Amino acid sequence: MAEVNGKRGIFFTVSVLLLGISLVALAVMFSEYSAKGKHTAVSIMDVDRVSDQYSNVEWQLARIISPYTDITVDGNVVRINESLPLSPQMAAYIDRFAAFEANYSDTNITMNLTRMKQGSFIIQPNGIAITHDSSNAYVTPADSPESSGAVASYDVEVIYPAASVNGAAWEILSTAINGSENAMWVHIRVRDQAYSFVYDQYATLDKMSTSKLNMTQGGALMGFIQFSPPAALQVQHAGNIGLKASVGLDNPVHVEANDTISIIASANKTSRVQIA
Amino acid sequence: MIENAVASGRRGFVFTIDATLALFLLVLTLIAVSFLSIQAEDDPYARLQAVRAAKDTLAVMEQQGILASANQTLINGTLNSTLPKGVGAHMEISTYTYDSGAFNLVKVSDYGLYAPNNSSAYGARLDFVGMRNAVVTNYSIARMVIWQK
Repeated sequence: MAEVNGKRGIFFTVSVLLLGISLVALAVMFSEYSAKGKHTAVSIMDVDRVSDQYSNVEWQLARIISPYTDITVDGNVVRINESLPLSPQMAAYIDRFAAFEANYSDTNITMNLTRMKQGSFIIQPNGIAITHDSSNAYVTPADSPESSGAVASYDVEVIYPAASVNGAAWEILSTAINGSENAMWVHIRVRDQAYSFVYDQYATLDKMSTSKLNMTQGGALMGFIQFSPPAALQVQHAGNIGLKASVGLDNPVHVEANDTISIIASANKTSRVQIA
Repeated sequence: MIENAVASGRRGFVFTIDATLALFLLVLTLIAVSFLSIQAEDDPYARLQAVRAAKDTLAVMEQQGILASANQTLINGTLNSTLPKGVGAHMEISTYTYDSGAFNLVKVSDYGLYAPNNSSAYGARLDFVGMRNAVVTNYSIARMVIWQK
């Protein structure tokens, strides 16, 4: 009898021990699972923090350049509103902001903004370059169906200081039939600030031929607007002008500066600067 | 009689071991519960949500020009109306100007409430430039701390 009770006692004791071990194992498993979840959340926070900082730096750069070259995107239309030639002050402000971030940011942030300072941007995904020099603004697609082939229209308004332009005439005009493969719808408006001279014309031009409109003051050339193959635009200016241009494309686009920002922290991010 | 006493002694020994094991399990359960509740207090997802709320509030205030206004009433009002109810916030804006090739700290402004000592507070930061008539006038850092009231 006592032997049977003893065996039963041992059986109970072993059962309780097994139950205890199972509970301990379960507790360890839950603890590990919880630690994993915590680690994931911390990683998300690191990525979120870096991504936020990156977006904010992009936004601040777009704000800094907007009084000089304001580039916005509305679906498949890129709008450019700028005062030409671009002020050297824009480059100085970009440099100072980069220096401020390098000095005071709590992450290691590096900005390479050489091209942005020169007013050089890219319309993506079409790879169309927007560039500037001291007396020209250019929109230059690559010679491919995805780039020049996607350019559907240009709307260009050139604004001269009051009484500094009084004539506009086509030196070369290459039109195309509406709806044809190389047709590109164009609206051009040339005026002075006081509206004492206004030239306004709509045309369907041939993307793969040259068209050139000269602007004059008393017969003297003040600049020109030229469309050249493949679907490229050049606005040449002798002095200060305001330029409002829009480029219509066949697909939704965004605009990048051909420069990079790198943030090295618990999570890293290096990418091109998107400004619109 | 002696045999009975020996059997009772063994039974008592088994009961003691059984009680010890039960106590061990109870203590283990208590430790597990307290460990998990401490972990729950420092829930990283709750922290992520709080930091997100602070960052979004800073971004909204910056894009609306409220941060750059440095208007105490406007900033305090926006903090109250933008953050979720039951959340307290304190914000500090450090403003630098660029002069003679260097950045100089010219102003530190405080807004909102101050966090109680025993609260879990979460922080966010946003850098922004102050602009007027196409001129960058200053460079600022806004630091926000939020907590559950």
